Amino acid sequence: MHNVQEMLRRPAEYENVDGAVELLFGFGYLGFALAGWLQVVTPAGSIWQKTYTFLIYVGLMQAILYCGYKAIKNHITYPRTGFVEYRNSKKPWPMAIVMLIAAAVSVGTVFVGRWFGNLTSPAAVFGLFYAVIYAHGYARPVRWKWAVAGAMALSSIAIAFLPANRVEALAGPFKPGQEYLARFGVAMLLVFTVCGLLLVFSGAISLWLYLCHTQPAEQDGE
Amino acid sequence: MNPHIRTIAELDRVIHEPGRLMITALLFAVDRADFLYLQHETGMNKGNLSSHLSRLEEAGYVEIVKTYRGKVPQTLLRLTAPGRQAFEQYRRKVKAAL
Repeated sequence: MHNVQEMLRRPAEYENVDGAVELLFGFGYLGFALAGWLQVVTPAGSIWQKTYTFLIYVGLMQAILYCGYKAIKNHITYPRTGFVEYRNSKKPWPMAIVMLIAAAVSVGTVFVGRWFGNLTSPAAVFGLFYAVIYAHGYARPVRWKWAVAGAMALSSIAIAFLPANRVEALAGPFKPGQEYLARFGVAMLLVFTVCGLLLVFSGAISLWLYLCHTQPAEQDGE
Repeated sequence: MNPHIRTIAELDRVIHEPGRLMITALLFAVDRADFLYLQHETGMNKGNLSSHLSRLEEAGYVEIVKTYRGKVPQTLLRLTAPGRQAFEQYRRKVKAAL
């Protein structure tokens, strides 16, 4: 029975057998972090501070990421180890509940952080939360990915302990009274940057290992 | 007859064979997959996999569609509704028997 359960889990693990999902999310995080840093470093009124620029940027980024993901699947994965189409989940509630809990924890930590005058810690909670999701989703079937999950958790904790004046300095000029918000924004960008880099690194290694261990299949009768 | 022993005797023989059990378990978790994926995951050779798939198709548990991915022939496989039902029933019976 244990082997049957294992077989039932295999297709879900297959989705990231080539590291494509990690690359997709990694570049997505880096893309959002880049947009955020551009808003921080550019002067007020710059094109990067306009809402429509941000929306166009996000739309383009998602299109490029989707095409890249599909290209890996169509040109590398399917010809080597086969094609899989996943079922639409008939149980949306578990995911909805997880998202509601995540939102409640996020809002709660921001309020608690504001109460104590420290908003870098709530940002780090996002990093820790993502490290747990990563460990649950990707590190369970592949042992070396526990190191990536650990690095994500440790870097998030390190961001929480950054001196407030250093974080504020990275935020550039901000209106008086908004220092908490500035600190939170910069800490979030740091979390996105670090998690994005780690995901791209992990995805690239997974893809390289996949290419080393698989060959395109011979085309003859089935 | 002891009810537990009767449960074992009532197991679906089409699914119970280890090769076919692997195939149905893999197809149960997805909407559809191709022949290459099943071959890669089960480690069976083409002849063996084909014969198991034919048996499952005969029982009405698997739907086989021959198509092309670009210029490359592709065999797509899907578990039918009776196939899903039979696999769920099989799991229930095995759990009960164990």
